[in-house]
Amino acid sequence: MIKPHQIVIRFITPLVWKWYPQRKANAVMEFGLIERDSGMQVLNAISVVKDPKTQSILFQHSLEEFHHGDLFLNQSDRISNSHLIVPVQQREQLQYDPNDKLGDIKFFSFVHVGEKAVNQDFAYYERIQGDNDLQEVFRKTRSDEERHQEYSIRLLRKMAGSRVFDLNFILFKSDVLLWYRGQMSLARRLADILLSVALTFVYFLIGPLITKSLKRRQNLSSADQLIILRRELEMFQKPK
Amino acid sequence: MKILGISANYHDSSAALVCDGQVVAAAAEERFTLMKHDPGFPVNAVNFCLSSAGISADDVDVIAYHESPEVKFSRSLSSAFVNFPYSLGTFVKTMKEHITGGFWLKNDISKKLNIDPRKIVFTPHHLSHAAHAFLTSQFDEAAILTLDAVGEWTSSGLFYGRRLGSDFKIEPIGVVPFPHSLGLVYSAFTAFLGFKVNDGECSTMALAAFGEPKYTAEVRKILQVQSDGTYLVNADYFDFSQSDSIPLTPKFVEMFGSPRNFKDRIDFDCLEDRQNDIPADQQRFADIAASLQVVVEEAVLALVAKIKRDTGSKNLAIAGGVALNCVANSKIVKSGIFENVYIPPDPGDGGGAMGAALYASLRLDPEKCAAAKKFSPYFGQHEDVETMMPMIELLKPKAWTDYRRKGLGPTPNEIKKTKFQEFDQLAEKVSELISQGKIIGWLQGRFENGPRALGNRSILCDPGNVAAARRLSTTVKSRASFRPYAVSLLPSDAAKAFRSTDNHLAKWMQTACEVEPSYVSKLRSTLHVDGTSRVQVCSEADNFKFNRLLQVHGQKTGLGALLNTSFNEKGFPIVNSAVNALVMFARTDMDALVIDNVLIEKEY
Repeated sequence: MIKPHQIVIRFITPLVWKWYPQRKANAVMEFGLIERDSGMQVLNAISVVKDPKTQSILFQHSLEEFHHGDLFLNQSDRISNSHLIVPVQQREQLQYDPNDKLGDIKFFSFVHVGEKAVNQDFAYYERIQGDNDLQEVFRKTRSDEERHQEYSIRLLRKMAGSRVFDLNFILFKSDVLLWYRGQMSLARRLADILLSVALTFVYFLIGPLITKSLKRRQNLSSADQLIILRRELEMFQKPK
Repeated sequence: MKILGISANYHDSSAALVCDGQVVAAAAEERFTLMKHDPGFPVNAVNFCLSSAGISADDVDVIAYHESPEVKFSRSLSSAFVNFPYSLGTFVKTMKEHITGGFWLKNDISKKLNIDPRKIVFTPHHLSHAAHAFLTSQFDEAAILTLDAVGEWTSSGLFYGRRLGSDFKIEPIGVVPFPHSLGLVYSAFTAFLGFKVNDGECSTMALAAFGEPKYTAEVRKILQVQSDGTYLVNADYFDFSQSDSIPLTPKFVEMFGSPRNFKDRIDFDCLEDRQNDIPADQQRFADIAASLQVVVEEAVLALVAKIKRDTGSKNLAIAGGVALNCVANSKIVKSGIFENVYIPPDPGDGGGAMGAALYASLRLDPEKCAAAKKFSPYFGQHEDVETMMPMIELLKPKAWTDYRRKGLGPTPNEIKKTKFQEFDQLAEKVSELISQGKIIGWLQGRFENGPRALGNRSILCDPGNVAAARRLSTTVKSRASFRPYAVSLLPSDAAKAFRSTDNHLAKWMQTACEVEPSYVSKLRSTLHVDGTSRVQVCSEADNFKFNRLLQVHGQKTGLGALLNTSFNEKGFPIVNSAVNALVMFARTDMDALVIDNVLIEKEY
């Protein structure tokens, strides 16, 4: 079943990309960064996973993710007309928690669910016409992601053994977590738009009142500036 | 007292841990996230610092943040309104950054690290830089210069530091206020030349060597050195309020012509003795870069002379992003204004975390801070290769074929691993491979702080072999041909092969030294077109293993010198772990990789 954000990708994104190529470049750069981040997450997991065979599979997986990152970043460079500003990542933690007894299963279930979601979204992006090179990158990436999906579920079944119920529950939880993150990301974007509108009002409301005094602040002499810096140092307090 | 320093939210986020005045761990977040200049909160770097000291966040007494968010906000707000009503975009962007982060920084840090917010202190940005420079130096007293883009309201700071018994302090004696900024001017020209701001400044510096300083009069109209040694920036040429675009006004473009498109190629080649068929536009950009470099050097030297007059000290410690300009640094040394010059290995914002922690240590724990003197650049993570060996056995290089960088040679059939019991045997073998023109990845111990590879995360090859250097540029580093490589040498060989290597800056690749004519062919692949090279003079005390490798190579070839470049691919930070190094080994045409005492070679 098509998800709400996939409807946006299917019907609105092609128009936005056509009218604003720079937005397309930014979106493609973000895909590149997401792929690189996946590569990094998988790479970090190698240090925690114990089994050498699994480690070697992860090594190959990370190589593939980094390669996808290269492909997308090359495309964004091609499309963009200026250097792109890399946004601050929302990710704060590595996905693999070494202290978690179910670490391997949780990690691979997240890999599986993540690859599946990306693959589904990229299928919609791949259909956007007018850029054969980019379509080829989506196609190539999707074919690798499908393989990642398959190997991760195979590994998960092997790890779970007879605990099929546990496995399904963990997969469900990963799915919910991914959905929740998607909703949070959507909420952040909406909040961002609302905040921009509110700030625009504030700008024109307070601008005429404070511009003069702020300009004066900009033109303080170095002697005044030094006094301010010294005062700041005097205020350096011992933490309570 | 355990103090955790944090630098974040602009570029090169990092963390550092100082225990009883002594730095015990420090790392940039980019090494863990593989995102170059990562500006995010350095949660991985913090975790590394805490775990390397075997403590938890609860055990930390103080968290020192590298700037004052309220003061920074006042500057951002003021800048956003300078061009009212044409600066709406900047205002919205700045306010969003503060509303979603800056305003709640204390709570945010407290939540992320699960610590009491009352433990958090804020150190002014330039104080963090000044403390980093002075407290990691060996000086008992020194003039301290911070040369930056901007920190709160200051762009350059002049300080004086003393640690003589109970007289232990760093005091500000002068500032150059924002928006007059050497760093911002250099970055604006960097953008004009088509390089990425806060990343491509080294490219601007490298390009300068190919040009003639024909535009110095024009640049002096922009960056005006004053009779008192400070400088002014003519605001008519810049518009720093437009943060998302190149901050240049039409007046700037009128004076220097159209900016370079970042996709346009640059044909200069530092490995060629003559630069043939260079298009006029490319030469114009090189000339502009050369002119900028000359005027920035004038401004830096004027400030250096001023701080000498103001302090009378014979020692100078420098920090801030501009201190990464090794050509300007070499002029400071050459000027002889100060007897001793020191720059920490990570003078930019990445070092701000260490600086903030050290300043807090000076103020809150002065006795221990004064006693701590030993400092080295190697405070990063180390991972034992043994844990990776079973996995390495199982790697199948043929599977890498479709996932390597573009334009490489054939994929290897196998990888051969050799474990050495004696380090000298390993060094012999590596020297032999290097002499054969091979490119070697070299990973030993804890990684270096800062952007320079100082023998623990390095890529090495023969400094006289131009073909090997070219191969390194095209199939390993994807590096522009106009950017030169650095060289690492034994102290005895450095003294013979280069001029002015007898100073602290030559220890950590912070100065460009002129080569002696008789050594040109032996060091050709590390020389820039002006006959200089960024030099690392490595003694046994600096880095025992790397020094030993240089000794062994010297015994074999007659010159203890190696081309030494950072262990990273284009667009990636320097590698952190063994497995990260293996990925780069697989993705590029690097011939062999050394991790601790294991040599891994590609076989075809």
